[in-house]
Amino acid sequence: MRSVVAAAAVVALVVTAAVAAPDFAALKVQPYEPPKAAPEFALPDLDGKTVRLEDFRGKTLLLFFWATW
Amino acid sequence: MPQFEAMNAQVVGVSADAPGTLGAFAKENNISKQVLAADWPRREMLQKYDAMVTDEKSPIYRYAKRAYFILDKNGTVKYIKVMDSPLNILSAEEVIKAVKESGAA
Repeated sequence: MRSVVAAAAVVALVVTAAVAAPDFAALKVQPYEPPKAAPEFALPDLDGKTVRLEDFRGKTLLLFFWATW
Repeated sequence: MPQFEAMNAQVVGVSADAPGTLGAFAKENNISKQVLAADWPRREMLQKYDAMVTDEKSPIYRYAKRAYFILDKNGTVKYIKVMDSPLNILSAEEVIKAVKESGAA
C-alpha cells in the first residue's frame, strides 16, 4: 500500500508541474487558454470501428483519458 | 449518459489498454454502451494530448493520466482537467456541471 501511495505522490508531482496555472488555487476544471484545435485522432473502438475526431463535429465532446489501472 | 445526450454531447473514453482488456473491463462493468477507444499499442493520442504518464518510476508508466478534455462543436479544446492522481475522479455531476459552464454545450 505504501508503494502505491508513494507512486501516486510521484504522479501527482509530475502532473502538478505539467498543469500549474495562475488559478491553480481553485483546482477546478481550467479554461484552456488560448483555445486550441484538438489534435486529430483515429482509434479503434470495442467493435473494431474507427473513431475519429471529425465524427463528433457539431457535438460537444468530453474526452476522458483513463486506464484499467 | 442521458444527461450528456440531452446536451448534444458525446463521451469518448480513451485508454492505452489493449482492446481485449478493454472489452473484458467493459463487459465486467456493464459499460458497453459508451464509446471506448483503444490507443494501443502506439499511444499516439495520449502523447498528442500530453495525457500519458512519462515517469518511468510510475507503476502506470506509459498508461493514461486521468484527464478530462472538453471540446466544443468545432473540435476546439475549451477546458481541461488533469487529475493529480489517477485515484482521484470527478463525479458525473461535476463533469456535467463543467461541460455546462464551459459554454461548449
